[in-house]
Amino acid sequence: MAARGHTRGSPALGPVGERVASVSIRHVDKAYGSTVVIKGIELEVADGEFVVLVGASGCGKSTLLRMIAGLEPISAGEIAIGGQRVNELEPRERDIAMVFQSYALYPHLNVRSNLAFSLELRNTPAAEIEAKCRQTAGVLDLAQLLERFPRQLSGGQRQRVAMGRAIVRQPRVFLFDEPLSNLDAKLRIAMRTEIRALHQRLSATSIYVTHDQVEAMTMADRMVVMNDGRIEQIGAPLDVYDRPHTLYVARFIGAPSINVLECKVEGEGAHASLRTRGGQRVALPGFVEPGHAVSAALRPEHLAIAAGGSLHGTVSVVEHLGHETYVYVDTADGRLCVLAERNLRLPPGAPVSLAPAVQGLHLFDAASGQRIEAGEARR
Amino acid sequence: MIKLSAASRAAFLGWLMLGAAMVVVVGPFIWIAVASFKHPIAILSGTWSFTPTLDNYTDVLLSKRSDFLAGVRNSLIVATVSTAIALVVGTLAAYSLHRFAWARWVTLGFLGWTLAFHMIPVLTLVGPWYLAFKQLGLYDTRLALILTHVSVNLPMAVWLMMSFFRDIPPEIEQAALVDGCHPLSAFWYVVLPLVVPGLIAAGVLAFVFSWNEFSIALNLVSQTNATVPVVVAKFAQDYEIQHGQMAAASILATIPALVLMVFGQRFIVQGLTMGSVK
Amino acid sequence: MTRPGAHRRGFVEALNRTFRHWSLLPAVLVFALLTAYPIVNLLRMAVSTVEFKDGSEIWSFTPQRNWSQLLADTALAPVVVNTLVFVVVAVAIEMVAGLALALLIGGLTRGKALLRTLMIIPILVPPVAIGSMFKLMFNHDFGVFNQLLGYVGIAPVSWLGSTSLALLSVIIVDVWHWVPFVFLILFAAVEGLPKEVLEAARVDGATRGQLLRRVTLPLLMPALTVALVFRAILAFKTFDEVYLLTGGGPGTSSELLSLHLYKVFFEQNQLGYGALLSVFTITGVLSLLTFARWLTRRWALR
Repeated sequence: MAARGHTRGSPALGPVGERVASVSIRHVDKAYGSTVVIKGIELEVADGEFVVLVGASGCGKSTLLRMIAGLEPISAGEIAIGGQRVNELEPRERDIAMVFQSYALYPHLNVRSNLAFSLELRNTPAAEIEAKCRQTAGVLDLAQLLERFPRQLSGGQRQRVAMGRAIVRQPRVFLFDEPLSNLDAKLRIAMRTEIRALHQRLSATSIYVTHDQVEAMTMADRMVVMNDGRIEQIGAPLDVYDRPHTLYVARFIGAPSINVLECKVEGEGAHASLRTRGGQRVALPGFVEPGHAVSAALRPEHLAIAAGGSLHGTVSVVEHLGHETYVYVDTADGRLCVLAERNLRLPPGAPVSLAPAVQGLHLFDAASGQRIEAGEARR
Repeated sequence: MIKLSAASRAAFLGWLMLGAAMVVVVGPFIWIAVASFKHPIAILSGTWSFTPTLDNYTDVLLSKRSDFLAGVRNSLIVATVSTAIALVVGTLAAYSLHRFAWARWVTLGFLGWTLAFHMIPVLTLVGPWYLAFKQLGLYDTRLALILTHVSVNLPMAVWLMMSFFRDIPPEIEQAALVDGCHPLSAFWYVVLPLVVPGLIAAGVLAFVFSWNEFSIALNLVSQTNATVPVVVAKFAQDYEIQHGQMAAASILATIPALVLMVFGQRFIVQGLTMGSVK
Repeated sequence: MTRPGAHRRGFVEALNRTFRHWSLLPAVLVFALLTAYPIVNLLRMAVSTVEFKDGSEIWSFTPQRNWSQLLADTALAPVVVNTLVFVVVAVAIEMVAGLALALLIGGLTRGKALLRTLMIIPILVPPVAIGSMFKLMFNHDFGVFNQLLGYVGIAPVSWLGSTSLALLSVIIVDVWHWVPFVFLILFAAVEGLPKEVLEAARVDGATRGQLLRRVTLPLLMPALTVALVFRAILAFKTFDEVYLLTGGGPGTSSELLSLHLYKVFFEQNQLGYGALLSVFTITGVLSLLTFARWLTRRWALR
């Protein structure tokens, strides 16, 4: 399905207006009985910002979203929307809209009634309901489907109805709970751009949850990488990509995965370098105290196949993606992924040497996973 | 002062109603159980303080006037045999309808017939059964009860087993066939072990319904082959109603159901609800 | 390939090949012999009189006699009225109570399993035992109902002995017996409701009342319909409890259809008339069933 322009111009569905729609999350914990699943979350979402909560399954991102929505009680801390504390408020009192992973359309209502549902609950005049539904349907290209029932719709169509249902209410905050997970790959990419375009038109504060780091990278104004109930890092996508604060973030963000070498700092002064577990050598970008156990991480684009490189191995698999080529090299430190020249052809088993780009080297403390800035004096 | 939110008030009301429901469900048993341990005078006067006695139970179980134990024996035989037959016949039929693509009229006709038969009052058929069994010389035999109970429980067994068969992924059966199994072997070695919960559910329900069955037993057998429900009814019909024995007999008659409930609860619920939601 | 082995293998082969057929055959046989054949016999009996002389049956073709017996049956009209009243009232109470319980228990966080277990008990108890239990409980002199009435200062009531209350007593017993059944079906449906759809409604702004009316109940419609149809048709089969409780009395004030059939067949020994009545009953029930299924099918297409 080609990415058609589903979002069309419609003046009445413009920016939300002067309603301040910031979201503050302060010291928030979540516990089920004695099990604490979310610890000490601090997050400020600015009005009109598109923030993505990203992390592996079970990291607590959906739980956090549901706490913002009011579907889960908050164990400790405070959540405020537009400066107003919402901990005790029911979902319907928070002026939010949510798009669920399973779309959660009302199966007994047709598309029009699905869109109109929230307005009917508030006894909105029929004429106004009709007008808003028509506009929303127009914006999301649903006009032909208004009389259909959810079971008669495709996955992509259902997803648009789910979004329409959220848009028609013009809430302060949009919440998305992995809305694209159930779509096939091509559709997912198409919908990504649609959601992003919609956000730009509506300028509504959005909090989006996904486990797909590509979605996070492409859609977010700011990303929140979560792991095991805690925030690992908050930042703009490229910032997080270029300067991951922890090894977890470095590993999670970026595809193919970053290459990690377990090393120890050897030598003194100008001769200091990293010796990997496999016995290979990597140059240090700056000062790190000797004997320090370090995880050295290099993105595929920061490794090059070049003669005389400090890493050696044999070619395992070559993947031609069309615009890029990845070469997987078996070394004494495991399999490393290298972004190579597009037309490169290498037979499996061919010996190669790899040159790491020192400026792309990320160093993390092997024990804590925290980023080490080379050159700073460490105790 | 504790301020109850709307949610808490609703919860409290809910708990109240549930408490009431529990009392209503369990109450009769407690009252009857208490009565079953009372002397006749204590029952009649309706006091709450009394000296308990086992007389009612011994009278029901052991006295010469009582056919209760004989009734238990009859009920056990009839229920066990009819359940076994109903399970075998029903499971085979259910699998056949599910797996071997019969013509639509066969499946619909068979299932429709079972549904219709399940719905009509059993007593409408007791008359013809009575005549037929009398002709065959099977009147007042346990065999007659077994046969009729099989036919009464068969619809439930078929419907229940069909829903369990439907829950098995077709790939499993296909894999067995690809691996070289004959349909019968696939059924016996692969499918059947997977529907054991269904067999248990259907078996428990068939046993309980056969044990509880009254209208057929009342009319097709005499006192010598009476089942437990018929014996219990006798206690309530006698000229001088023996209240204490009636209470004791009621409690005793309920024991199998309670026992099975403790063990087979999960299966029973599945069976009862699945049988209707189809 | 030794000869004995060949025989056995051939037999198993034959079994396998014909599995399709002989797996369905036993059930078909059971139904043919034990249900279809008796029903055919029923039709025969409906137009005959069967008398027993010296242990053998004598059949005579007497359609008019059976028909006039039906017309002369003064008890028939009250019985039909009783049955209809019984079905409507009992099923209505059972549906409402069952739904209320299903929604209430469905909303609990703990104790669901225990309550569900308790609810199974009334379904498994022998109906005869239920009848005898309630007969004791309804007893005018020492029964618990009159005891409770006494605590609030009301004089003892003749539950089973007064024409105005006998049917009500039967209804009470039926309600106790079958509300759990309705509850189990609806509870399974309530548990099966799509959680996220309900959450979406809460986010969309639905209050508890709106949630119930606009989302929960419409989604429960299929289960409600099934429970209603099932329970209503099964209500016509009620026999055991009535037999025990009142025997149809006093007079015919609590006599239901099944009980009347029993009396005609086995107390009055009018096999021909009884068969005629049975034929009418079966036709009536099956028409109801067909109508109900047509109704549910139409509803499902909406």
